[in-house]
This record gives sequence, C-alpha cells and structure tokens, in this order.
Amino acid sequence: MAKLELHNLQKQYNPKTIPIKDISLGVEDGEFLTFIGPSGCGKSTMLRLIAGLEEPTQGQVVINERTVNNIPPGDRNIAMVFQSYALYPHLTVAENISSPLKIRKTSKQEIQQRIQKVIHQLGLSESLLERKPGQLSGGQRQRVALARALVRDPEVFLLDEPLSNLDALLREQVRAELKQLFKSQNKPVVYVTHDQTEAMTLSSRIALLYEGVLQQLDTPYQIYSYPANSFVASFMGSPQMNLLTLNCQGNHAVLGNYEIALPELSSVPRQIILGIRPEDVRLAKPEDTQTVEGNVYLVEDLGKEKLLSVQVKNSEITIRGLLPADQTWDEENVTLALPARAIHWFDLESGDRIQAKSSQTSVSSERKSA
Amino acid sequence: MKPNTIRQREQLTGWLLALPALLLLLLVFAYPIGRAFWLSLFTRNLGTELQTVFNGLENYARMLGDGRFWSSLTHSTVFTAISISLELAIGTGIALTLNQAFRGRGLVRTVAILPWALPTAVMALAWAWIFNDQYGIVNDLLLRVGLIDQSITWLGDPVRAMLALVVADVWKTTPFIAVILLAGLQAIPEDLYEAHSIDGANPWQNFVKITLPLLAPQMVIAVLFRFAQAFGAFELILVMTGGGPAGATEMVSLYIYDTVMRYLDFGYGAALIVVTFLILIIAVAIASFLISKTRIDVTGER
Repeated sequence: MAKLELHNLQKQYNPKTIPIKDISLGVEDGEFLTFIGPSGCGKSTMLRLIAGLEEPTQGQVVINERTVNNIPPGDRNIAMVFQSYALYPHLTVAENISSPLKIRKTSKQEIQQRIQKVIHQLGLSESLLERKPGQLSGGQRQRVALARALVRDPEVFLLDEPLSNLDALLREQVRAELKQLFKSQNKPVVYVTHDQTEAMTLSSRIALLYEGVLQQLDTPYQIYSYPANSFVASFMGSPQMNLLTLNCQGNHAVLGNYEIALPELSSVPRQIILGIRPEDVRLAKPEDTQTVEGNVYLVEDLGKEKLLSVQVKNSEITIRGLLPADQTWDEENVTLALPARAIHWFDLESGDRIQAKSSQTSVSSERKSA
Repeated sequence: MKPNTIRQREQLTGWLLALPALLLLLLVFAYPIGRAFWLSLFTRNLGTELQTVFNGLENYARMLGDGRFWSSLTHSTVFTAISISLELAIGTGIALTLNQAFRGRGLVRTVAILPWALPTAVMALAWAWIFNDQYGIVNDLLLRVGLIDQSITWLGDPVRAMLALVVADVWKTTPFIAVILLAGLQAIPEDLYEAHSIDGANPWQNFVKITLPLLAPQMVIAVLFRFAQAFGAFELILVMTGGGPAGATEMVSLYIYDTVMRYLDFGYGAALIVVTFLILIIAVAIASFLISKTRIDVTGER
C-alpha cells in the first residue's frame, strides 16, 4: 500500500520565479496521475520536488504518511524515468538495470532473478544485457530506463516525458504497453507530459498546470467535457476549442447577426466567452434553432474528417468545425449549427467556467479528495 | 592523369590541401629526429677534434655503463611520477570545486589559471627565492609557526631540492590539468547524477561510479600531456637547482644539454636524445592505447 500526498507545495527560486504556487493533491495505489501543461508551467519541477531532487520552499511531500521533505532521493523509495533516460553510458544494460539494487546491497542471486523478471516483463532480449546504451536503439534505451525503475519495486513511480524521444508510431505502441504495465504494478504513478493524447489515454486523473497553479484536477472525461476555465478548454482537445469573445444583450450573446441564448445567470455581464469544440459544430439541419451562416475560407482534410474554418457573416469572428469526410456542402457558404448543450460559457475576466443553474451538474474537481 | 570521378577529384583536393601541413611536419619533426638518429651512430667530440667518425652502436653501448645517464633518468622518472600524481589529485579537486555554481566562480577560474600563464623561468626564479635558506619565505613561515628551530637549506639537500622542484612544478601546472578536467566534468550530463542519487547513491558513490569513469578519457589526456612535459622539464630545473646539489636533481634533459652544449659531445648527445625520445614515444603509445580503450568503453551518447 502506498500513497503520495502533496500538501500546499510551493517552490520559489526568487521573488520573481515561482514555478510552483501552492499545490495540494493525493495519488493512491494504482492511480495514474498526469501533470500536463505548456512548457514552463512547472510540471517537471513538480516531479523533481516529489523525487527530492529539489527541496520545496513550503509545504510537504508525504509518502505513506511519512513527510519526506528532508529525506534524500535515494531513501524515498521512488523510481524515476528521465526524459533523456539518463542511462549510464559506461555501464552495460545489465549493470544499468542492477544499479539501484547493487547500491542497496542486494544479493547477486536476487539481482539476477529480478533482472530476468523485469526484462521478461518488458520484452527486452537477453542478448542486450551485455551491450552499452550507445549500442541500443531509442526504443530499447527507453525500455532499459523503465527496467531500471521497475526492478526496484518502488512505492511510487515518477515518469518525466518518457515517450517524447520516440518516433510517433513507436510512441503509440509503447503508450499502450505502459498503461498495461503500470496497471499491473498497482502503485501510484506520476507522469509528466506536454502531449494531451498521452495524458488522456494513460491517466486515471489529469492535473493541468499553468504558471505554477493547478487549473483542474479531474478524470480525462471530466477535463474534456467540463473544462474548469477557458485555459483548460483551449489546452485540452485537438483541434482546439473555438473560444469566442462575444457581447451580451439581454439574455443573449451576439455573434454577428445571430443571437445565442445565454444560460440562466444571476447577472448578465457585458461580455462573455463562448466555447464550442470543433467536433460539436455540425452543418445545420432544418430543425436546428441555433445556427450561424458564414463563409468557408479554409478546408483542412484530415482524412477521416475535414476541418472547416468559417468566417461568420457580418463579423470578424471565425469558427472551426470538424465535419465527416463524406459530407458535402456549398463551397462558399455554410450554415452551422451550434447545439446549446455543447456550448461552454466562460467568464471574460477570470476565465472561469460559468455553470448554468439548471443544466449539467458538474462534478467538482475536489470530489475525490473530499 | 585527369581525375574523372567526383571521388577521385575529392581525393586529389584532399591531398593538395594536406600537402603544406605534411611538408611542414616532415621539415620540423621527421628531419631533425632522423638527423639525430643518424648522428647518434657517429662519434663527434673534442676527442675527434669535432670530426665525424662512424662508430656503429658504440654510443648506445656507452650509455649502458653511463651511471650519470641512469641516475638522471631516475631523477626524471621520480620527478615526473610524483608531480603528475599530485597534480592529478589536486587538479581533480580544483576542477570539482570550479564545476560547482558559486558566487564569483568566473573570477576564481581566471585566478586559478594564472600560474599556468607565467613564464617558467620567471616563476622558477621566484620559487628559488621562496626556498632560499636565508631569505626564503618558506623558512620564515616554518620558523614563525614553530615547526623548525633554525633555517633549513632547501635547495642544498638532495631530497629537499627535489621536493622544492616538485612543489614549484605542481604549483605551475596543476591549473592546466584542472582546466582539462573541468571541461570533461561539464560534459557529464547532470541527470546521470540525479538518476544515480534516485538509485540511492551518496555523493561519494556518485563520484566513484559516475564522475571517475566518465572523466577517465580527460584524465588520460591530461596525464599524457603532463608526462611529456615533466619528463622533459628543463628551465625549471636549470633555474632553480641547476641539477644540483651534486647532480641530485639532474634530469635527462639537463644531462643532454650539458653533454651537447658543455662537453661538445655531439654524437653521444644525439644517442641520448634518441633513447629519451623512444621512451617518450612508448609511453605516449601506451597512453593512446588506453585512451582508445576508454573510448570504446564510453560508447554512450557521448
């Protein structure tokens, strides 16, 4: 049984550089938590704080009810896979994998057994054991790095963009393997990536960081369906969500010549952000009520779908819509339907999600920890 | 002959471009060495009235029984071994310190390299005064601290003179080793240390398992350079002790100099040069072999 908790974690290099600002969360056994965010959001710093490579300015890192702030990395019983793999270039694969065991003075016999087990688990061929990292392919190195982490049987796994140096095809394959592998380990896993597909497919929960602040901590489904603010909305999902800043009039938002019904609000702001995912935009059918007409100025063929960029009539605003590849339309002008239940509303000032009183009951991001 | 393929043309260009350098090498290296070897087969000294008389390998036979040659060889070896060991140890320490981030590191780096930049003869003169038995600062300090009761003759005692030479040499050339090792240290990726400390290593294990093996190529190169220099050390000895007292610090280079320039024994001097040259070449060859070995060992991403 293992549990990783972060209590009010803060890291400050100097008054102007604060990569992590007050973050609290918990990761349980078998949970796969991914930190995602744009570069410089503090996600790698998070991992280094947990690993003990850096010391938090404030707050605690707690593993199994034990505050490890002052415990050196080697005694925290964590394993980490580096983006560069950090394999020891002068040691063979076998020596690389056994390094953490040797330092712990494990018996030779047990080291042998555990190496055998782990290379079998990862599908590493025995003939590679005597090679140096320089003689391996990128995929093999990545596996050796994983093997070095797994062989220790640690309490917590930390992975820092372990797939970013693999080519696209291999990445997809290894991603699936990783998911299975860590499912069988049943330990807390903390993963860092900037790739939303990785985050979505691997994680049981995603922590989206931006400027050192936790924007949302939720399941992939929740993050995708109910983004907590306009930043999360724009960051997760590809192609990016349409985010339109619109003027409000009465209980409508004005989009060119068209009016989009606002949800029930206690007070109507002057301006509001409307968000709709391209995959939720479709060609209007006669029965649709909420439609806009516009001018198609760009079509991007993605093979299985077509991505349309449409300029709304009598306005500067553009909307992108993802349409099935076999659908046809008038080349110049289209009428798009913006289904009310697919629209997200965000406050212009704070960027926070505006929750309609009646519809969708969102699940708070604090649900799990509460 | 007209080159007809691109490959042939490129080869021709390559040879043409390399030609000036090759000629220069022949002129300044191959010719003098060959000439020395040729001269070593002759007797040409005051006894022959500086006429060149062929004697085959007689000079080499003479060398076997020449006690002064063997003792100078021993002095050179002792001097080289002790100074290089000390320089490597201290140089590694300095490099490790300079590799850490601290305030004023740039300044310290510059200051640390200064001794290396000084002309050897000048600094040898300074060290001769430092070790002077009457006015030297070493004696003064030792007297003040109370480690000795009366002034010691440093350069007048065989062992202490050698010690003084080693101290001066270490002072001057440690920065050289430190700079080479520092460059090597900076090429070691930080995440190797991080991975190793997550594996559970303490700083000492990090040093032994990561730093030393990955720094080995630079260490071999530094030692190689230093070996060639220390074995041929000349100005330092000439200025500080002149080979004295009573030949106790006479090195090979000094003996050769005396043979050729003072005794005007050109043939024998040439033979001494050839043998010393061969010793150096063999040592360098062994070191190069070791380097190539470590290169194979360090086939990482480096």
